[in-house]
Amino acid sequence: MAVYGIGADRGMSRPMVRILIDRFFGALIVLSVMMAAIPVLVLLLFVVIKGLPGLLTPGFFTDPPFPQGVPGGGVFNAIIGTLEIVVIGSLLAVPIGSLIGIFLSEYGRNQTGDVISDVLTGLPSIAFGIFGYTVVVLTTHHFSAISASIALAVLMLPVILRATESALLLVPQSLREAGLALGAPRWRVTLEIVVPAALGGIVTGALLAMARAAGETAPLLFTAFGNDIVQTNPFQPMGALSLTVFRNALVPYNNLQDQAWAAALLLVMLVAATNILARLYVRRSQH
Amino acid sequence: MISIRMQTEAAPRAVQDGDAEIKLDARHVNFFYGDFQALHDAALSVRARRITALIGPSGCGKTTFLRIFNRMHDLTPGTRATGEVLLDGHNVLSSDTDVIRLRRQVGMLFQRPNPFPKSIFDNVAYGPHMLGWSKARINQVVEESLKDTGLWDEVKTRLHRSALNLSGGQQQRLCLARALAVEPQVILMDEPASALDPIATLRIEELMQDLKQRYTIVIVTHNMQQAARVSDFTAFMLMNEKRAGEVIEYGPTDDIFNRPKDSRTEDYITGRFG
Amino acid sequence: MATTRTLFDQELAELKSGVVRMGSMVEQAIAESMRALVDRNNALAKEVIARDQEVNELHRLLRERAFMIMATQQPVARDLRLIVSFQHMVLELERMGDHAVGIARAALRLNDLPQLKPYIDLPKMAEITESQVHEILGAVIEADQDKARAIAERDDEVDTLYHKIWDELVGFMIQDPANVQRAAILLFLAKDLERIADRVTNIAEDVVFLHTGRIVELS
Repeated sequence: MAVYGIGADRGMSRPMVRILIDRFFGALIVLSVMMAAIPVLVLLLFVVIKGLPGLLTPGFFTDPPFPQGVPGGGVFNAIIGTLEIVVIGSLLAVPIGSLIGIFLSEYGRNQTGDVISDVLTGLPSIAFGIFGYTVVVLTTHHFSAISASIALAVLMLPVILRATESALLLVPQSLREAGLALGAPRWRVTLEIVVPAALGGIVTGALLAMARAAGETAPLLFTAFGNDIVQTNPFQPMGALSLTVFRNALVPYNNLQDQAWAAALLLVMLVAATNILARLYVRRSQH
Repeated sequence: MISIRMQTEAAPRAVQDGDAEIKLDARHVNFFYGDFQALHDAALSVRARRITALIGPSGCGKTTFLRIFNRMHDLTPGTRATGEVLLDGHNVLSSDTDVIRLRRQVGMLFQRPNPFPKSIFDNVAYGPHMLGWSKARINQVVEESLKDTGLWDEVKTRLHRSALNLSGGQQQRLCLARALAVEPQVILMDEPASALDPIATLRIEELMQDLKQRYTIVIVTHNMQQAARVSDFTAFMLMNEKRAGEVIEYGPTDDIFNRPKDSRTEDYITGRFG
Repeated sequence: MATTRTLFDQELAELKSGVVRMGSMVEQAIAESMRALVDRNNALAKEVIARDQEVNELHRLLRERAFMIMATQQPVARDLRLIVSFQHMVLELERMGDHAVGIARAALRLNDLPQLKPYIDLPKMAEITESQVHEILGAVIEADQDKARAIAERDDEVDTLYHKIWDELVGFMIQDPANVQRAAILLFLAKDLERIADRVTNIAEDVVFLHTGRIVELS
């Protein structure tokens, strides 16, 4: 407004001033978007360029890692591990998180829930690892996939809870009233009308939480720990893609470093695919 | 419908309506949002199988009053209603009222069509299904309700398609069918046509004339012409100096619109209300 | 009272002043047609007849105006009663104008003939009728239903005079067939006056309706 005033004082015609201001801010927005997008695009490009050769190496998807110094080897153990840890974590987090979200939105509306979930969202992810370590690893006396799943579940919880809560808040009040005015008890209205109407948002939230969990490294360090052999027993240490990236990046063998890049690319693809899936689901459920 | 009587002074049509039994009787109703009093000593005797309209300017408490009749105000935290609302003699405001049962007896149609995001069939079947009726009975009641609202012929070939694809007017009639399916005795309508175009509005109004053969209807409306067209009785409400709603005048619609007793009613219906 | 319908109120006020103007034109026509008879003034009688066109034109205009207001403003209650009674009043006034023309035509024919008798009761009847018309317009302006009822009461005086005139004129006819033509014209003239008084009663009923919303019969 002030800029507009100055322009007018200088005797410039008002439409002219408006057009100039409009152009200026338009350019500013484009610039900001570029500044935000360029690093991400460069990073992606870098990962693709560095990771693609490793990804295309025979055996990458199907072999477990070979001992250091031995050429070849793959990340089959880590793929299985990531999938298993995330799936178990989701099985724990999705029902609990969405139930808490439903409760907070439909019944609770109290500050305590909000504060707890805000604190959980703000915690550094290493803290979740420490949680898994303290609660599971120390009590069972060994590293295990299940401890990683529990750590990730706690990490996913606030995301799912928030997504559920906000999806439910988007359901118009009039829909609840319609159900209640028919003489339906509150729980039936919630489960049969409100939740189905918000399902798109809830599922999206769950998928995004899973995507985030899949990419986490820190919570896995002292929980799943890592395992070079293919392990499917959730009570044993287990490999994971993010752990592969972390470990292999530190070793002085080219083939293993290539594997780290390839694992990073695979992880990016996995997260991107989950995100796209979530968006597709939202679009479909809106019709 | 209007019987012409050979008398020197013409008899208003509602004189014979005055004999109808009273279905819903609100007495000395006060309503509070926290400390704020939104209704003051409101009274209304709703006659069975008649249409009663609540009119008045925005904020006069007419919707608040309506929502007390089936305890929808319970849903808003911090509200309190005192006084009596007798449904067939039983006070619905008393704490021992089975609210679930009450709302089946006193159904409601809202300002905006609010079909569930389900199929047309499932919308109407929701109530009956909840009551655990047999499949055959549900099928029957869905068909009857859709026929009662004039929707059957329009939707019978796409009963299992989403209700959200219907037009606004159709959606509102679907909501009405949904309310009818649980076989209520009273239907509360909160500005049911305010979101509809004129033709859809007239269809709803016509439907109300059919429905009043079997149901008692209370309608809140901003549209005075609508109140004059459809209702048998009209109550005019206004805020008092403390901003609490009061019933200023209540009587046969003919009287309210032709020869209101209170000058405030006259000012409002003739559009002289500031 | 807040003025949320300024335009509408203005339209109603214009309609009302139109009705009153039409009323005073009719009042004048009645007075002048009677003067044309008593003074045997043909020119005045012709003027009354010519001026009825203006009354008719105003009548048409006011009806159109009232119809337009009803169509566009959807009046109810007091407003609706006002417009409906105005519509009815202008109809009555238009007919009263026609009766004045009837009197003027009768005057023209009688003025060509020797006077049958001195006019005594007829001017008296006319005087009452004229004052009724004058006063009922006042009642319309003031929307005074008590006054309107009182004016309607005076219809009895007019009726009494009318019957007296009737008997007298019939007497003339029986006396001498040569009187029949003039007596008959005078009878029609008296009938016109009597009808004007009836129409005043109708307008009085409109004033009561305006006030109470009840359609009453004042006679």
